[in-house]
Amino acid sequence: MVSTEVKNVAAHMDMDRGGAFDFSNCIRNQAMCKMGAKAPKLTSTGTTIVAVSYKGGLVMGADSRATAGNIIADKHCEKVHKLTESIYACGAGTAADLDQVTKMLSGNLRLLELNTGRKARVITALRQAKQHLFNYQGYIGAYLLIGGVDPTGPHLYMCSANGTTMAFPFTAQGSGSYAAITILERDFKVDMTKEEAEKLVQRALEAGMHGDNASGNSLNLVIIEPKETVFKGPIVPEFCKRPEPNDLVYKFKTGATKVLKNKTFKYDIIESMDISH
Amino acid sequence: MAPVHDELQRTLNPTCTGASVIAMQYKTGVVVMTDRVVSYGKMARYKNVSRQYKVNDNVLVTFGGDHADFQWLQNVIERQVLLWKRFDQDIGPKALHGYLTSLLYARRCKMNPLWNTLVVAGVEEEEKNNKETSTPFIGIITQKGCAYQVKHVATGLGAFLLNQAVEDEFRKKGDELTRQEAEAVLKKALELTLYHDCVADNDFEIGRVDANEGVVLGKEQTIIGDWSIAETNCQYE
Amino acid sequence: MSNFTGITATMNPLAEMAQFKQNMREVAASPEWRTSKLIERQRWNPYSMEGGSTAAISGDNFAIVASDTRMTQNDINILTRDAEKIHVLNDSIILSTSGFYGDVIQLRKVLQSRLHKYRFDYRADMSADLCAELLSRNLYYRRFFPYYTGAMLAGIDENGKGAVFSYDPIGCIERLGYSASGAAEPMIIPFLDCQIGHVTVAEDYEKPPLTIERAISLMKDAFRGAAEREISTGDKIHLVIAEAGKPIVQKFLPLRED
Repeated sequence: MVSTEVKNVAAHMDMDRGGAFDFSNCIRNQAMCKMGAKAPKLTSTGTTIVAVSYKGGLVMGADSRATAGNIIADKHCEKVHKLTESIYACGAGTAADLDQVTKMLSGNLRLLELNTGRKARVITALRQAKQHLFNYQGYIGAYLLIGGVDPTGPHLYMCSANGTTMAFPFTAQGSGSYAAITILERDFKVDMTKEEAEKLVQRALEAGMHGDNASGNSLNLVIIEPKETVFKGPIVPEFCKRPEPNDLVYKFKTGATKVLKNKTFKYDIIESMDISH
Repeated sequence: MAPVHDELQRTLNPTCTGASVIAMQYKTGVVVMTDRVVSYGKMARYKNVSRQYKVNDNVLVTFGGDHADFQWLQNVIERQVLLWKRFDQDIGPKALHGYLTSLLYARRCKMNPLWNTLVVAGVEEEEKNNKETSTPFIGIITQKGCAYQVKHVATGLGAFLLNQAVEDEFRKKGDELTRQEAEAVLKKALELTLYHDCVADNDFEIGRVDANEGVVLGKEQTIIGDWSIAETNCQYE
Repeated sequence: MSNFTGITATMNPLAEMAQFKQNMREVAASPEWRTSKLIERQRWNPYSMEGGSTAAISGDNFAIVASDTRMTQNDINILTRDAEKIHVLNDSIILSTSGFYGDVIQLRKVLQSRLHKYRFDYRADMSADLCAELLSRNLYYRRFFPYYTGAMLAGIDENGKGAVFSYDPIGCIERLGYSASGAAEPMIIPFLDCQIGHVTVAEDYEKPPLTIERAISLMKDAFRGAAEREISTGDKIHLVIAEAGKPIVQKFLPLRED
């Protein structure tokens, strides 16, 4: 009797340890799967995001396609997120997670800046992100490139959904990263000028958008320097434009829709109300 | 119904594998590049192994995927070549491509696939004599019998990493590419897989099929690449 | 995020609830994450999908088939921008396919050899009607290991009329006025329903007749629209036009490449 009780308690503790997390639905979900139910699938957005550091600054960029399965959900989606005036994050992965994580980061960093009276450092943004993501064991599907310029110079970091982070002179992420990283490896040089870096990021993004189905439409760039941050975009590469316009005009004349039922409402306007006080 | 242990006799996971094949056509022929390593998982198990097979003077077959399956395929191809010889004919790239497509597709239908991606490169005999209409041939066959023809290709991880870069290079010149230019593109392409494909090797060979020279197997070459970037990478955090 | 799917209401909710509770007890007793479960070896999948879309329209004396020319690996990576998805089998039969390209090649080979044999036996080309039936039977022959193709057969039938036959992977055949298959099928069909089927407009609304020019324009616009919103459709439109008494015309038109 006692032993079974202990066993039950142990099983329970395993399921919802402490008060912070409640895993009891995992049991329910598994039971539902046994009944033949299928677990929902999360949709992740295919993406190409690229960042390159150069002498004294950083260029980051992203394409603007958001996909849900094989359908383009958004053609002009903003994947370059502003964290502070001189720290930006590009995101690949689950769109909602990215929005929330970057929102949280920008809020926290702004608070920090107001409290300390100084500009936030890139490493702070990275630490916040990785500690948050690590807590959720990769279930928050946010893959971030965090980069910017602070008093210690330009920095570029990659942060994976499970909390892995790395520093890079240049990197790419997302489904188009394979095609993009090849261009970066080929053409990257240490201490490039701003123009060279900007062109390189654009070329890498274009390779990703061209060779990868889930990336495309247009690209956005942000050039971060100690003095100013310049945002460029949307830039539409040649292969992303429609080569030919439509042949026909699809406009319906009045009367195209069949009227099934008519109902008339009559309103009597008595007086206009004054709501100014 | 097949017995349960049946699948143990099938290549449902490859053992010793070759990585990417990169091929590109130029004005009068095709250049094909493979590295010279056969991996056992992530281990570079056998070095200095050629992954290119000269079928005859017009056809060169290269492979990615399971090495044992390819060695068996070499035997099959050789027998096919001898069969054609009996009728006093040399098998051409298109015919061999068709034959291998059927073979790989038939094996997939038996749920017993050949774990290879094949690249058949060559020039047709009758087109060789007519320089104007001579069009080099590159045909790909995947493990499941899906076959297509291209002007440039990278297989394996190279399909993700290199396809776009090679395509952009090809589009600059198109069919007017010379052999030297094509080889330069391939060498650069191998250098780029080297940085990101952990089973790629820096020992490689470039074979070619030319309308004038026929099949010329390449010599072993080595590439070092540029690793100076390591200096800038402090990996803090 | 969507909800759990696959649960259907049964006749006996009480028994179902009892079963669910039993499952809850079982799972709670040994949750999956605490059992040292063997990692099941993933069964090898003999199919792969190469993406892309095709569509066909038939008219009074013509049939038009179109497809894009992109071939994709893993839904994401572009293998080639010049794949051939429409196969002209003879002077009046056009086969257009989507789905697993290995099966497409096999299907084309089978049909071509059967057509060749027919020509040998009867000293005439097979008609589109006959070939349509042949294709249906060939597809059904592989009922339990299907050709994973969304096939369509178009052409000029025995009466000189345009014909489009649409199939499911295991050989269900249907003669339609217009059809589409492949990745952008859910986008192209409603468009054609609206413009050719006129299913969305009132009966007394003026409906333009389906001339060959209009059909070609609609087909182009359908693919231009699909390329805007479907990721595996793009690169080029391959347009094949069969008109009664005329040779088959093939055209390639550019599409966006991203």
